[in-house]
Amino acid sequence: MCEQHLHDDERDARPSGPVAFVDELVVALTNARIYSDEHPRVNSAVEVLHEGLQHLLRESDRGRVQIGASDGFIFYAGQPLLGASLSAQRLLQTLEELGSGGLSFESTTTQEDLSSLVRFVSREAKRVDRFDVANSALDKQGCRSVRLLPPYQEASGSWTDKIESEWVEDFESETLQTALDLDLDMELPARIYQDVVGALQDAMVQSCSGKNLDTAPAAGYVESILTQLTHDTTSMMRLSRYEKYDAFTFGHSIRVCFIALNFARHLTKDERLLERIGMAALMHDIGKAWVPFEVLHSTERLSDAERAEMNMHPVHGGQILLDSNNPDPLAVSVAFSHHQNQDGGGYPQSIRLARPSAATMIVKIADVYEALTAVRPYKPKMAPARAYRIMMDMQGFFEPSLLRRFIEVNGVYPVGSRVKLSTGEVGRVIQLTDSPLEPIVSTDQAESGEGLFYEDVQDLDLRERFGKNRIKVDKVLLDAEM
Amino acid sequence: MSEAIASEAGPGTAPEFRLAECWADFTKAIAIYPDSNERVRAKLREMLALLAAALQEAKAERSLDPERGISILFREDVVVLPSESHDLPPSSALAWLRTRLDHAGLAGVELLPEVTEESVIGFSRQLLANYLRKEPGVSARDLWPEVHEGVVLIDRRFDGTFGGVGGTGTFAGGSGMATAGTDTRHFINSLLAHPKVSKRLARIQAHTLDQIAEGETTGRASDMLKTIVDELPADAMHSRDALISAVCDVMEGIEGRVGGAAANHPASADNERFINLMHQVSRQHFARQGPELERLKTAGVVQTPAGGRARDADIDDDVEQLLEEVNRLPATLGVRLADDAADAAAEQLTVLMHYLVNLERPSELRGLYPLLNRVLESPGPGEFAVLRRYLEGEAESEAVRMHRRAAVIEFLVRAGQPYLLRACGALTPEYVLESFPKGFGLYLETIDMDSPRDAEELDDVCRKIGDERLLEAGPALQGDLAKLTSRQSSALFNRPNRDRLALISLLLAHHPESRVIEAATFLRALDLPEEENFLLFHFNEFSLMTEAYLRGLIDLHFKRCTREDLYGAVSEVLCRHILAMRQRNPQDRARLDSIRHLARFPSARGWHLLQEIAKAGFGPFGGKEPASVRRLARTVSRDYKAA
Repeated sequence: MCEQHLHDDERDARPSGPVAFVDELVVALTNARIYSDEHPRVNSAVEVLHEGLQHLLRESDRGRVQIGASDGFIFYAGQPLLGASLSAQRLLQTLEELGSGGLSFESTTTQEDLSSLVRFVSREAKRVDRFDVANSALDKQGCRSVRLLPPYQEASGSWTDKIESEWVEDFESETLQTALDLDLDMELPARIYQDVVGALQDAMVQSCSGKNLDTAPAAGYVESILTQLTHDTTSMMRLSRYEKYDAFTFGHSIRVCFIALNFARHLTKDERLLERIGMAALMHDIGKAWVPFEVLHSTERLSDAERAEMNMHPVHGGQILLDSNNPDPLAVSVAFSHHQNQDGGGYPQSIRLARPSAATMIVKIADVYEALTAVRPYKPKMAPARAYRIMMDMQGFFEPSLLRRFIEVNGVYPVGSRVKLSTGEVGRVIQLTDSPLEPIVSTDQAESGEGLFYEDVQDLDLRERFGKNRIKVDKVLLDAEM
Repeated sequence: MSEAIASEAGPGTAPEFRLAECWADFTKAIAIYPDSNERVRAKLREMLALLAAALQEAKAERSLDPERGISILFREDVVVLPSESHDLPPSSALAWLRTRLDHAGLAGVELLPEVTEESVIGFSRQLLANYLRKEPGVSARDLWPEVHEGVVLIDRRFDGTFGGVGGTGTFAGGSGMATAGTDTRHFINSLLAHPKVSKRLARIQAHTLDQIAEGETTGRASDMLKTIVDELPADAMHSRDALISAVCDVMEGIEGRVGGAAANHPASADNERFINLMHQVSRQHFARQGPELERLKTAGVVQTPAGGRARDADIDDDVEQLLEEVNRLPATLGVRLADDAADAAAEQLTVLMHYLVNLERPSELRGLYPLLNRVLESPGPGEFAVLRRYLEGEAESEAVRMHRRAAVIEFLVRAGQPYLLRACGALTPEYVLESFPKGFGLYLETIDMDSPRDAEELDDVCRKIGDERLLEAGPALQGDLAKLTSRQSSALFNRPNRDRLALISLLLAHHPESRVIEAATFLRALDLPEEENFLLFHFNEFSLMTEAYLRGLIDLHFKRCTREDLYGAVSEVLCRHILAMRQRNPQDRARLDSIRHLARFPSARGWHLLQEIAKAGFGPFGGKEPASVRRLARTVSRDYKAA
């Protein structure tokens, strides 16, 4: 049983819009990779996808919905959907291999059409190498309402043929490249993020399918994360603030990996050890692949039996990793121990050491911090300062000196946070300083709420005096992370 | 706390700076010499004299409160004194001292007038001891278990990103340290540093007519706070959070009253009316808030309730409060992952062992055995402790315990690492004695017979088991003894000892051919008193010995057989010798002796050989006996007959 499925009860509360639609498409594709065509999980995911499409169609006045794909990003209505792109690596990869620039859904699209698309992209696409051949294949399956779009040509700013292309038209005066250039710093981190999601999806599919886990691809990406963290902490940690809840918890695992690595690299310079910790953080929840999805996504209070089932995920995690190729005892240990507390509490029940290893404690701290600061179906996101205070109040959970170090390293206003200043300006924390409440903030929004022109964006070191006054951080903007 | 003031004059002029230097010199001296050393004593006297001078100067020039002392703080590379600050000269004694303070979680100390030689020595000894501590995450309470009279500890400022000069992070002087809750002055200092408190103080001061002169702020504010704190119930000093909250409330009340009164009757911060007002508001507040204060007081010590985080709702994102709380966490003492390697290996072993003992078919988990082997490649104390817990630790039932134990033993034996069982202290002599014969085979496998200590232990175990029990356990031990490698078996013969005699008998039974020479050597070294022992000294060729003779010899020693039972075995060895020597030197003296001895140990085999020798003359093909030997054989035959 896997976690890749949204519980039926969640549907009413499910977010709608293009990002949600892309997310649902990713869920459906992943389920199709795990299960047979007739499996209820596959059908239910397609049903949800269809609902999302209908919602988008109702909002659109064009009678069709087009999702663009270019340069590793998903676009909708002329805007790159960074959040959706992060988890859509496999979809983007498939479209790129087919030379396609996106997907077009007509208003007549049925559930069967979407089933055909999902089946095709998840399994059959490997056998063709061009989008027009893919369209022919879809035709043969009776799917005529969904089309793979031709690729977008940067030079001309148009499609290679005459197919109508609303998502590009929406750019108006801007080109696709301009849209991407707006946040060029994010491109490489986002690509790394996508790669890691792809690797995690593969890992989850392998685990669910009863195959031995191949950790090598993910390990390679951890190396990239580490390198990127070293060279551009800000961009990387910005992604760690991307707290959209995803049905897979891939996002959670990746963010825990970012946070843990960023912390650990302040404690050691041993790159091999850091890579191992990163990998352990990335895989710490892999055991959830074996938890029944009804339990994993239950919106009700769990019964004792369900709780026991849920609490088995650390044991499952260690087991999956032990059965992987080239298992690392550190990753096994972290997956197994990350819910055990220093005071003997937590789970699973086992013989314990007096002191957990630092690697386990680092991942545990990152895990709890991420969970507190990220949005969940059952709770809103939380300011880092409050999360720290709650963590400090969790007696017996953490090694106090290590928690203190974590707060020091991560900062009261973590790098990547969007903050409102006492001047009314809004900006992003780009660097911590020796004064905990006075980071360096890159302002990009005026007091009036207007976005600043690029040349007006400035980095303010809040330790400095500006005239007679100090500029302070007024608050962290929790709803404006991305 | 005093603000760092850039010094115009060079270092070494003010008594405060010389005091700091002298303190550093003294600490260096006491790090090298005993307390009684004259160099130590001289520096100590000088230090206390400089403290007296500095206090005198501070009183004269800055109207220092007579109860207050001289604070010496280190921030980054600056030493901060009440009236001035100086860059730390690199490689100086002060820099050396700063390192040690930093390691002990201190930014510095305040030396009070009542400080004594003993308390300075006590503090310094503890400081140096703390510097030697390697374990990370030691709590402040463990670092500073005792109060040293007249020495007020001042926490290191929240270091790393929180540590800079001029930041808005709180400076929690001594909060949570050994003196927490017991030293009013210290407590007031930390209150003064709290942003909420300082803001309210500033507002109160703004309402008073006499704007307090620059440089006196701290002293006046301290007085104001003391007025409030004096009204606190004495036992309420245990919860700092609660007190800060309560003090803030009182100050709010004072602010309201002062603000209201100011318009009609301007108050002065030190006039009697103002002080009375503060006392009155404080008293009223604490009287009214008694039960609430009690609740707050206990809130600081109540642990998280089990199973719920309902209290999270009461926790907000107040960053100043956050900094205050962070400051109370123990110093990080340079947490490094490299220091953690031992813990990590032990934890990994704990987890891997969990799978080993809990899975039905652990061998099917393809990474488990290789990882266990890897982790156990070079085990340390941590790993031994884990093994011990899995082997001997308590479990929910005896059956579980035994299953766990068996699984671990089986793995270690299969992995070729049974010696770890003994190395981790699991196969103790007591356990072997208690479980005999069950654990004895494993015990033999795991002892290092090259180690005199292990050999002695084995002899002791054998003695305690007793020869009789050992010999009787022969059949039960058969399988275990068969598992011993050739080297292990040989090692058991290497240190002849009477206590091991029964064990040798068992080993001989299981390895009759290969162990004869070693057993004969062993027995000869023991020089048993039995007459039949003579053969071991009769000739050097132990290859002629038989297992029957050697075991018979031991049995005879243990009185498990009679001399007559041994006739055949002795006669057989003699016959072998006689025949073996026929080709090499038929008239060899030892051979002739062997022929003579045959008469003492009658057997059919011996009689036939004597007859053969007596009749065997020289022939064309050689191999026959010389006449003298034939004569001897005839003589012995006659004696034999007579016997």
